[in-house]
Amino acid sequence: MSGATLMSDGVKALVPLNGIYRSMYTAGWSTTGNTHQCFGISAYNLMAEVMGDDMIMGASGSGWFWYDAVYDVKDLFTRSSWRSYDLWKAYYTWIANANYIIAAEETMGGATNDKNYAIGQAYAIRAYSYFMLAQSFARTYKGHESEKCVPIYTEPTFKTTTGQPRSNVADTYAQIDNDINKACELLKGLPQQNSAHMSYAVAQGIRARIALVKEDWATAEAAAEEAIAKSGKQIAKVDEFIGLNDVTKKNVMWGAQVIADQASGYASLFAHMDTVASYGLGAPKMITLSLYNKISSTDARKAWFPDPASYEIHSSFNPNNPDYGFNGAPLQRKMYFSDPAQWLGDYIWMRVEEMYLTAAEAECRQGKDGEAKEHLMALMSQRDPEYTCNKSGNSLAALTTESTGSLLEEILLQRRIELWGEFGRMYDIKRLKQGFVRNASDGWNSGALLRGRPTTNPENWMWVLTIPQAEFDGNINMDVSTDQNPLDD
Amino acid sequence: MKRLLSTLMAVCIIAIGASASKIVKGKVISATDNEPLIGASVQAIGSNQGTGTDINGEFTVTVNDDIKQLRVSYVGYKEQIVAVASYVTVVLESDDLTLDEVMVVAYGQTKKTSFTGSAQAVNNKKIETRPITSATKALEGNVGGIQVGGSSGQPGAAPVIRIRGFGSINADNNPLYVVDGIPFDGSISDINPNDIESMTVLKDASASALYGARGANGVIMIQTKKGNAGNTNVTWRSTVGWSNRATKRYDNVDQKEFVQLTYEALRNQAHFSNGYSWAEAESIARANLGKQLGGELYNPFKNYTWGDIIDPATGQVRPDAQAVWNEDWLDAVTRKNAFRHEHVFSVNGGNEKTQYMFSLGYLKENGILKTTSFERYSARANVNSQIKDWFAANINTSLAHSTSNFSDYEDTATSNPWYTAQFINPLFPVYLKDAQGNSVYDNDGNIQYDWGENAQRPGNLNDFSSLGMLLLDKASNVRDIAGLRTGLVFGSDLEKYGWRQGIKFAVNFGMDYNTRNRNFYMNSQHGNQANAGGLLYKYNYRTQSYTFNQLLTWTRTFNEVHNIDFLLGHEWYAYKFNYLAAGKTNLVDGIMELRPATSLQLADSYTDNYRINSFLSRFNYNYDDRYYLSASLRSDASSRFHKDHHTGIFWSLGANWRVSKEAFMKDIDWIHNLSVKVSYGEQGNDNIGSFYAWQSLYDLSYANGNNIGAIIASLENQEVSWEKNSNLNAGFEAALFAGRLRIDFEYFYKKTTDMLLEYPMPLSTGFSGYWDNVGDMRNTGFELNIGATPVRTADFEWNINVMLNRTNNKVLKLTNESPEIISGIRVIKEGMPIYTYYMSKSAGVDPATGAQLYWAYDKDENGNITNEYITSSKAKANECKYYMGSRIPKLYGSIGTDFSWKGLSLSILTTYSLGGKIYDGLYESGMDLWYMSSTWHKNELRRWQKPGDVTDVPRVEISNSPAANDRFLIDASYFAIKNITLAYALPKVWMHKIGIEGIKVFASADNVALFTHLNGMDPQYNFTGGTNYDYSPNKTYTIGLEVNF
Repeated sequence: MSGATLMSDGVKALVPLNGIYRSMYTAGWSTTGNTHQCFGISAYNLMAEVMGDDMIMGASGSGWFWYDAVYDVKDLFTRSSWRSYDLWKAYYTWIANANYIIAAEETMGGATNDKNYAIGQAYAIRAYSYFMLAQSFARTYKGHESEKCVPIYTEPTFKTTTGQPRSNVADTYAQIDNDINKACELLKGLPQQNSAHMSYAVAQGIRARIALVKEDWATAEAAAEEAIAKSGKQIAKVDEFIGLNDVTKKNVMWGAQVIADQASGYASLFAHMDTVASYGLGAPKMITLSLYNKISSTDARKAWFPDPASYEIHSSFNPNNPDYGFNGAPLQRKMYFSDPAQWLGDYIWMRVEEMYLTAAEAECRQGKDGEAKEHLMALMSQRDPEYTCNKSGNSLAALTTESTGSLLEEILLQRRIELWGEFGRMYDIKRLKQGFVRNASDGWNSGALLRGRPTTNPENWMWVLTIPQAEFDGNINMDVSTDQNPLDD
Repeated sequence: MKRLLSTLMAVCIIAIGASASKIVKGKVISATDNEPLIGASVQAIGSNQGTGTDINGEFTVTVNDDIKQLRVSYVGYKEQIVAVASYVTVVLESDDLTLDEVMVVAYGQTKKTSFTGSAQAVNNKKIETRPITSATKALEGNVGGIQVGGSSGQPGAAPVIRIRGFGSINADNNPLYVVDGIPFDGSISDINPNDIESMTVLKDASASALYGARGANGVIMIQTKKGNAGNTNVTWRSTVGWSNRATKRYDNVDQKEFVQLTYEALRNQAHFSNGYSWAEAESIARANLGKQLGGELYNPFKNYTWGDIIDPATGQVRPDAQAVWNEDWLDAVTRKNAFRHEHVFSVNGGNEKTQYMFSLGYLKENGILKTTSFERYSARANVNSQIKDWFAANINTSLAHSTSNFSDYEDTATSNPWYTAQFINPLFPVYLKDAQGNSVYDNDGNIQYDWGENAQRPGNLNDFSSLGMLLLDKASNVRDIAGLRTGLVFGSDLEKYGWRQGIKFAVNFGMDYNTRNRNFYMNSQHGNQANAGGLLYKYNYRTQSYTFNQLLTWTRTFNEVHNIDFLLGHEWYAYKFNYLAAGKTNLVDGIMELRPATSLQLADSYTDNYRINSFLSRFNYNYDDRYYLSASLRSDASSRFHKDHHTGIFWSLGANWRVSKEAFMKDIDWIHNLSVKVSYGEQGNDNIGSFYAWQSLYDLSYANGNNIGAIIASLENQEVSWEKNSNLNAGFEAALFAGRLRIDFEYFYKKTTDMLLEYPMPLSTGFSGYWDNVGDMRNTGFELNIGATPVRTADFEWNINVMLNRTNNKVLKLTNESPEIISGIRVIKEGMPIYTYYMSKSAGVDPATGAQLYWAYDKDENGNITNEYITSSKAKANECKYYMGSRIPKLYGSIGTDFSWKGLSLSILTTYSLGGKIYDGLYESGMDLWYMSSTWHKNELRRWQKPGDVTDVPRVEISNSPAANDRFLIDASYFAIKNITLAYALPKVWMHKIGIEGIKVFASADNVALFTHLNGMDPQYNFTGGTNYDYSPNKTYTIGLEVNF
């Protein structure tokens, strides 16, 4: 099918938009190798989870995500089957597809609302993609504004398109801001037609995430509040969204509904997470013991890491079993298939609870502890009837394993628990500029302790991916010897 | 009165005819040495009277008076037909002296000596007695300049062939297959090798430019058998055979060694990665060994627990540890002496006007991997008829039906038995064990497999058994093939047609139809689809192709010395491919159908179309069989390209000088034949993998739920067109000493320009590239073929044939953006051979720590290496890569010999390859263990163990592989005994007594032995120098019987 037809009006333009969204939960299109670890946004979130300090990957399994977890992928940048290529290709493919739609802004016919709905989403997709690229291929925004980030394209690609050099971090974020603001402007007032669509509220949610990274607390607060207000979504109780596999739940702002013949089977998020399905046992995901112990016994979220006896699982995975290992760190039961027989389970990419936590953090950062606590309590009252919080202040310890006892740390703790396994913990660690330590006493297996690696130094390069060789092969403005990120930690 | 007279005469004649016979005497001698031939067959044409020659080569035969001709034949000699006389002397020429071998070439035939191009034929003698299912396997070692890869032992698998190197980087490198004059779109394994008369490989432009846009990679022409005038000949041939693996196995560690290395890996991790002291590390390793090895469940040493098995005093596995099981997974999935049997029945006959051939074939071949097999039924009918002296017609139809059962998993897919069974942790039993280590049986007395359910087994093989999965999962291909070749020829070579003599007009129509039904089933009891209740995919692939051509030819000889041959033609080709697939989960057990299954997983279909419209012409001139000139021209318009760029012109010029025919050579009688030839031309390659390469298209396979979705899949490039291949060939052909020594030498220089390349776009533009004509590449090389007949007597003959080939490849130009394209451990770089290795260079092992050391360097502004040093940094090693050669061998070829003594013949074919390297990823995975479900290679026992050790293998680690480095580059040289065939033709004199034309018994051994630099490595796995977990090639022994009557 040709591009001209698809861009002729706002309704037809939903075809290339839906195509982009579908690829956000399709396995194996960004690279044909290691299909099982590249199934779109959820894969990249899981990658950032296992790279962090809260989710233990109990065994290497078949290797998928393991090399992310032990930071052993940077040198594989010449191979098209590993992370460098996969991530770069995926985000830039979405950008290119969005660029074709944005380029039709002037010529697109049809009703204004339809057109705005299409063009607005294209801007949101582009903003989101550049934002994720910037977080993966450069050090965090704050303090690194002048460092090299990623090349920027705002025009559609033709064979005559020349490769752009790496923009710096500040310029990249300027583009991201420009795009997300444009998206919010165009999408305002338009209802979400499909749960995967980046509607106005989703765009505001992304805007809030961007602002957190930029430490633009006022914008983060405003965007999060606007997202809460306009999404029409409410905080759900833990037992109202069990399995985290249904986008129709009242708290889901953004996510993909997976229907049977579009499920990617074994190469899917829940195949990795679900301990009842087979692979989730071969490479089990556990919460660290220290984080688990911080969940109050009256907190409903304790149910995400239940006694294995309460569900169908082999006795060897009972933490009380002497052969279990992991120092008793419990298996997750937060995310699982809605129907393992059909490999069904929706992918959730943004919940309204995140927005409450974001608003709380942003307010706390601005010294507005009272408002921050209101947002925090709005969530916690739905989680733990006994919960109270008397903390204050926004100091932050150097390491995630340490604590100064501030309100900020309390908000971040609840964020770690609430968004465990789904948000991509590494993205938070980077922007918070904290170091982390993996301890065997927390359940980490000896192969993943990262001893001798500079995890306690937030200025390290181990959290920054290498750029794939295929970029240098085709880009006259990028040279591997000067534009590659350090291969060292 | 007149009438009465004539009636009387007729009666008399009939009376005489009925009773009259005559005696013919004669002698049969060999042209080589004028020695008598004993046991030569002398047969009357038109009756069944005949005899054999005696010890003096003489014969006496009584034939009817009306017999005019005798057919005289002898094994190894060219058959002769002689007129009846009272005494005849027949001088038979040896087959090897048959220099004027007729070869089928593009759109016609030629005599080998007169051909200006490079082509080499393999006749059915090299095929028939070998246990090969795909005929093209017989090309290896018998045709110079070709490389054969893809040596999979899966029954029915066809080899991959490269003719004279690599013409392209991204476009297809496979030759064009032409069956009976029409391009063939089926699988070679669909053709019964016994139906093949000969195969001709066209290598240079003069030979293959007439195939224009499809000829650049060379052409393999297959001719099927045709009927012969004369006696009806019925052949029955049956063979039975047994197969086993042809490559050796990798040498892996045993159980105790495995435990020892695991212990050391834990110790090394604790000490080097986690910072514990050596003593602490040892005790941590002993304590963690049990967990690492999956608990006591997988401890075969029942006299020690994992906690005790390492002696703390020595740090070694206790020598008295006794294993109660030691089961070999590969043995468990291997079928020993896999049975193969083949039966062929063919009838061949006709008269002067009409000849026919038909055949029936049946083949059943079991694979050496349990459950795999191939079964083929084939039939062919071939009829030629000269209806009028100016009108002939032919039809050739073939039908085949085959079923192939295979294991549908590749690479490191867990379910691939070649991956799992070959490199399994030796502690894992095949069969389920109880606490005492005894095998467990179910209530029905069936032995139970150890599936390792509930992730109890360490590593990545959860709920898996190689043998169990092989038996439960199913994959099959069922193919139905129909082929048709039919033609009409108008015109005649007869003089009576005056100016029209030699003018012929032919129309040919060819069709190949094949449909493949593929089933893919994953079982509902174990593995990935157990929760889903099993998964079944059904695929239907339907291919139709048509070729229709009209050819006008003019062949005349003027003044006895000027021979001309002119061709003008038009050809049209259409290809259509239909794909349809559906899949569901949750099946009803035992029903391999989708209908009762509940959940839809896949429903998909598409169609591809492709057309070529061509005009072609050729002119051959030959002066007195001394000077030959040929020229060809073809224009192709291909639907793969934009209409402004879809037409290409291809051409060739060639000359051949038969020096030995010159007057000045007349007295040099040791030179039997000498010819010198040269050709040059340009061919094309349009096969770029996509039928729609120039267009910018959205891929509509991205529906988001119930909303249609599409993402852009390709960039437009209207200019993309053919890849051009200019091709120079020069050589000589000599037959010396009465043909006892034969030397063929050819040099070639092939240059690909406007190479079809996926022009690399910066990945950040959202595209990896677009199809464009960029880049140049060169292949040069030579082929030397030496044949000798050291001994030739009346009864005994000994031939030796040696082939030496060399092919050099060099990438001359890539894109403006980048002079190199790096992909993993290989690089395509200007000035270097394609697929040059580009990786870190090992600098040995640090004696203090056992760490892998690498060479590293600094570079100055010009990119020159300034300062080389040794480092243990993996990151540094990855930044400092070296160019380390390629797979391309320095020299390769074959050595063959055959002996014949009376009816007994023995032939031996060996192949060799010298030089080149293979990056053996399988060996690498055995040296750098990733998963505890795999095992180590024995060479890991050379590992560094303690400070001060000097060795080339670093300390043991798990899931911590070094930078890819040249430690795993293995010399690719090999020597293989490909085939040994022993045949015995029972003496014809005996046969004639029992009314049988001939009986031949034969025994053949295929893939007899392979000698490489590393046991287990298959040097012919592919052309880029990789190895993978693939079906091992087979070694097959067969015996057979052929009866002619």
